Parts: sequence; structure tokens; C-alpha cells
Amino acid sequence: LEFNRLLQEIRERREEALKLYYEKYREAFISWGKQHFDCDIPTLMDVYQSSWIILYRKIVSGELKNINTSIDKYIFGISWRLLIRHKRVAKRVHYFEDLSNFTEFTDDPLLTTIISDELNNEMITLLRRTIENLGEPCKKILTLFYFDGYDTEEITEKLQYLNKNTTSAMKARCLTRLKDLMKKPNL
Amino acid sequence: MKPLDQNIIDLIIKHLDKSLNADESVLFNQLLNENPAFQKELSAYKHAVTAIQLDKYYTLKSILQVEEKRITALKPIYTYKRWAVAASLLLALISVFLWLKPYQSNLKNEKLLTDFYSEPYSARWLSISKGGMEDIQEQYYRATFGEANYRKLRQGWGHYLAERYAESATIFSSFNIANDTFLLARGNAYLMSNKPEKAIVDFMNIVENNGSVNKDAAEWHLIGAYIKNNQIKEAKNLATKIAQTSKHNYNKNAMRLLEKM
Repeated sequence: LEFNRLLQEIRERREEALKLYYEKYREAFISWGKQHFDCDIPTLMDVYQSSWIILYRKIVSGELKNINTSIDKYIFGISWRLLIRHKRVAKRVHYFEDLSNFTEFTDDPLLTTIISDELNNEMITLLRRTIENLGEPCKKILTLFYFDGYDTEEITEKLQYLNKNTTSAMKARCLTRLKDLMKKPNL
Repeated sequence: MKPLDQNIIDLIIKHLDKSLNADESVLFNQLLNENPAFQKELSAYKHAVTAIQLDKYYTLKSILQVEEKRITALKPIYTYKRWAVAASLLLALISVFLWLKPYQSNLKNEKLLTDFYSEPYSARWLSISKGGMEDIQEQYYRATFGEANYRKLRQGWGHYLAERYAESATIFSSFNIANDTFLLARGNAYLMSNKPEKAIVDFMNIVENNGSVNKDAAEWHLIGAYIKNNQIKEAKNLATKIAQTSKHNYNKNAMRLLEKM
């Protein structure tokens, strides 16, 4: 029930719901994080934010339709992946054995990218600048499709394009343009 | 390297969009296994998709960072207020408790006195006839204190028997008579006129007089004086002693009193 409400609210209210749920489970997360990891609060909050975004994307993209645990434990599971693989700050090894059933996050592409050693601040800045250079409506179409889980029909309706084919063609052109922009080393 | 034609690009995009049909999947896998240019192009497109996802990820991250700042900025005030309210409530509760405690304690003590010490209040136990002092060595008092003081003493007895304990205590306090019956009466007059500390002295003087016939009564009333004076520990100790002495005149009274204490 709790998860269904989260699912519904995030689909309807998007980022506003994300903020509400972020605050709702924040104290519980800090308490859990302090108990199990040797890291400061800013690091914990950074991970907590990432975890919510990953969960958010899974929900809005339609990848996640149900969970077999509570929301807070699900968030703890994602956070654990982020902390253990990226930070190595675990206090208690046995705790991770308890969370070993959270294997579903191992293959999450966004999570894998975030914790990748190759991703540094310089790269992030470059990448975001490239997206800015891509401009609108490409950025909007691609974000709606590849992050928010909208299909071409929904994008057509949302951005008031002529039809699905127009949207689909535009999306393909935008992606190709972005790919080309990313090849340019000075961006 | 020769650029890939549009059909191949479409194939890559369809793969990224998870919309390849069976034939297209076969072709896709074939190209992936055999064509390095295709592999490179696929990788470039995948990076583009990842870039879009990361851009939105960092946008959301900024939103949550702002949210985090908002929460932490509010938190100290909120926490301070919460603690302040809690502390105020706690202080108020403690104050009420401390304010009520003596009253509650007094109420309990008064209940015990009413339940167990109605006898001295009515003074029926005194072996004197109403209005007279025959049984307390009338001749001795006349000779010792003189007629004027004797009349005063009789007036005190009159007040006592009429249950005007404050008046009788005032008159009795001006006499220094080493007589157990007098001391018992005066002790009760003190007890009833809310001067338990003085009552304790009179009762203890009787108790320390081993030969006194009023010793048991004095001990029993001493408990009452202790209760009135909020010396509960002393009252319990003495009541326990009496309760353990089967021959004591107030043995059963002491047992019942201990149950109530």
C-alpha cells in the first residue's frame, strides 16, 4: 500500500512527490547510515539523494511496478550499493549479507554509471555542457523518453507534435545529434 | 571508416528503445559480432543515452540538494523549538508535581490520622471525668501550682474536653508537669492543634518512662504525631515495632495502620 501510494504520487506529481518522500524517510536513513557506515553526514546525504533519484527513475520509467519490501529498506538497499562499491566505508560486514538480496540494483545502468570510477567532475561538467548545447526541444524529448519513461505517443501529446512518426523521427535525429556532439573533444 | 547508413542507425536506435522485432534482432546481433564500426557506433549512441540520463540525474540532484539545504536550515530552529516546548512542558509538569506532592502527601497523612486517630481527637480514652481533674492528682496540682494556676489548668481541661484543642494546648503549654496523663493530654492537644513537633516531645517523654501505664498509648499516638509531622520513616519503624509486640495494647491497630501505609 505504501509503495503503491509512492508509485501513484511520483507518477502524478513527479518532482514535488520526490521532495516530499525524500524528507519523509530522511531521518530514518541518517540513523541507519550512522549505524552502519563510517562516513560523514554530507556523504550520507549525497548517497541518499542518489538513491532516491535511482528509485524515482525506476518508477517513472515503469521499470519498477512493485517491491517486496518497505520503501525505506529499498532505499537502504540502493544506498548500500552506492556506499559499498564506491566508498568502502562499511562498519559491519554481516549487515551486507542481510542486504545481499538487493541484487536487482547491480545491473541498473544509471547506478552503474554513477559509481563508475571513470566518472569525474570534469567529465560531468563536460557532459552537462554538451546537453546544454544540444538545446531544446531535443533535450526535452530525449529526457522524457530515456529518463522519464514517456513513450512517443505521450511525448507527442505532451509537446503537441503532429503525430507519433514526427516525434519518433525527431527523437532519432536528436539522439544522433547528441552522439555527434559528444564526439567533439572541445565540448 | 565508412559512415553507417540510416537503416543501420535506425537499427541501433530501435535496439536502445527495445523495439527490435525478431528479424531486426538477428541482423543486429550479426552486425554486433561482425562489424567493428557498428560496435563503435552502438557504443557512442549508448553514451548519448547515458549522458541524457546523467544530465537529468544531476538536475534532480540539484533539486534534492536545495531541498536538503531547506530541511537543514529549518532543522535547528525546529529542533530548538521542539526541545524548548518539551523542556517547558517538563518543567511545568515537574512544578505541578512538586507543588502537588506535599498536598498529596498531606492528604494521605490526614486520611491515616482520621482513620486511626479518631480516639484521641474525641479524648474519650482519658480517664478523667468531664469537667473534673480528680484522676490527675487534683490535690497535687492545687498544692504545686496554687489555686490560680489550678483554675487555669482546669480551664485547659475544659477546652480539651470540649475539643477546643488549640485553646487547651495554649493553656497546657504554660505548665511544666511531669505527669504522664497530663503529657498525653497535652500531646494530643498539640497534635490536634497542628503542632506535631511539640506532641512528639510529650509522647516521647512518656515512652521513655518505662513504668508508665500510658506507655502503649503514648507510643501509638507518637506514630500519629510522626505522621502529622511527615516523619513517615519513623512512624513506620515504630508501627512495625508495635505490630511485632503481641502484648502491646495497640498491636492490631499498628498492623492495620502498616497495611494502609
